[in-house]
Amino acid sequence: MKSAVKIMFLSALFAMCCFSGNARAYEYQGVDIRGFISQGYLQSTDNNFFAETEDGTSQFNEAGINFSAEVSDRLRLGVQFLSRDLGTIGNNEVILDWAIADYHFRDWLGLTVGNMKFVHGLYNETRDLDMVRTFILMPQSVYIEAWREAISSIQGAGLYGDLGLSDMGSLSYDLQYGTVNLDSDKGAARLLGDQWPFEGMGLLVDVDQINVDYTYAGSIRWITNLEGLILGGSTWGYQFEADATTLLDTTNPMAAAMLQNNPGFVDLVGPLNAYGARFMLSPSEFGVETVSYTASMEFMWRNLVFAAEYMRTTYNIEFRNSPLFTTLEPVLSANGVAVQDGTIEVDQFSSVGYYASLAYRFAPWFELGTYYSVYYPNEDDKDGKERVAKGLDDQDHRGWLKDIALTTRFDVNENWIVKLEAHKMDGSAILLGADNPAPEDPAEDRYEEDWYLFAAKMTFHF
Amino acid sequence: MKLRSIPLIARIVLAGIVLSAFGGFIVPAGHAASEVMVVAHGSVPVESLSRDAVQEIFLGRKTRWSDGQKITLATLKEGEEHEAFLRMYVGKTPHQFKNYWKSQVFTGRGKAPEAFTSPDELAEFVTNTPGAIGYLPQRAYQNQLKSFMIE
Repeated sequence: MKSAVKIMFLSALFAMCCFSGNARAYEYQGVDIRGFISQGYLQSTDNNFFAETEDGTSQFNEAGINFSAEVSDRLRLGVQFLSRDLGTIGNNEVILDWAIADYHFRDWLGLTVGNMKFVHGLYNETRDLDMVRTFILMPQSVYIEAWREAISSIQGAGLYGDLGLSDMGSLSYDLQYGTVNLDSDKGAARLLGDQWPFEGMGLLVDVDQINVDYTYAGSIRWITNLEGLILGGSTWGYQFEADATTLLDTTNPMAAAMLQNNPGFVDLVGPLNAYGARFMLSPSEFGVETVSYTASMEFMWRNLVFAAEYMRTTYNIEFRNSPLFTTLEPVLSANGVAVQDGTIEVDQFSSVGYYASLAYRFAPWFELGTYYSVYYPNEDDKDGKERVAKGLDDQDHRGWLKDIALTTRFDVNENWIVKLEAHKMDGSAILLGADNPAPEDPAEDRYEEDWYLFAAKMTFHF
Repeated sequence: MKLRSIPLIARIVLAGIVLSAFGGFIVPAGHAASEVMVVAHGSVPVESLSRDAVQEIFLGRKTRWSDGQKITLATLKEGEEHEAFLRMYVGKTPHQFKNYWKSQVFTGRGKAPEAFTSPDELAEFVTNTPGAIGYLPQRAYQNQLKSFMIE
């Protein structure tokens, strides 16, 4: 069924590409049809960046097609289907990216219901649209790839509008409330799996299902009367629960010791699972609450675009597995982990990220851009020492990622864009354990601190 | 894998930067400022507009005239008048303006303005579409359509 949808989607997109001529939207009986296809290539010197980039990968693409129509002066309907691939994320499954009914009461008040693009920062809504930006990869400090699905679109309702401020410029606002479908094989689930702090003890998790209780997002942009200057602020929040298969890795010396020294633990161990020397334990539950704030500025002056953003995200995470944690309470307590009613609460922590970018269009066909982006998964542990001490990671450079990027964009014609991009990376935060498995030889490093990432991408749109 | 083992990609990036940057500098970026006037359908109940209002209209932030009539945008696809209008009244380059509307369309936020190859086509559209607003070369179209004082 999924492959049939994929074939229909690609066929429709291909047909539209053929019929749409040069860069024009295709229009059929009042319905505007537009689309895009991007194909990229990623290569890293070390570390796998959300795909097998060390070996070079072309599993890096996006394609979308949208249909929109103005049903009346005030009512607009639209839908966009999207397919994307980044390593094992997406796998070119066709998803409903957005599908909205938009009623525009006044310029200062509109109502949107359906599946809307999620407002966050200056560019989150357009992050799938390679053709409207300079860079291939957005700055990971504010637009983290692992969170992409989680903040791509929101099912619910939203209010928006534009308010004139006379000599002060104008104000645009968006308020959204609803829920999000999070798949267990997407980046957010894997990022969540990486928060599990007991891997060093031989206790492993595999997130099976995520149930989002609620999501909200809000954004305000002040279009100042200083030509080209926009200042903005945005926030979003999540509450969700996740179910995870819990496994015991008996090859881990600490796990073996726990089995020997804790009466009752043996009774919890279930059958051998498909992975080999890993045994099923009682399932774990994750409870997560997160709130994020972003401050943004963009300044356009002729062909120059300068942007800077700062994001801070606070996480409250708890792990629940009453049989396991109660049985292992002595071991966990000895490792500084408090268990209460079968629940372990992780101390609240906040990630921070910021970047500044500069892009200049030298000619209609050529643009050059650069950015510097910094991300810390825990603002109180910027040197990563604490996470090593706690056993979360073996390497302190998991505590930061500093990225210097340089991009060239070539507009071959109105439909075709080619981009080349180089990143000099310092640190290994945001990289997922699932993409970078622990090496068999314990003497080898799992992640490299200094590495480079190269990206190339070609986009067609109409 | 070490950096030196993939020099080709790095070379392509650097070559692209150097060649294109050089190419960019030798392509003339400036254009002679053309005199453009903002025009509208006769039904539009406005005699003058501020520059900020023109900007809000062409960025889709103001969508109705004071009598509730829907504003329909008419733009040129390219040319000196197009560049001059966007620079003077919208504060964007043609590339930025196009990107802005692509962002609106591909995120479900709006419908792109009608875009015409020639001023004649635009003039005809504005003349025949109630609520329409556009821009034209001043000399060629003076007194043919309703035009605005821009404050």
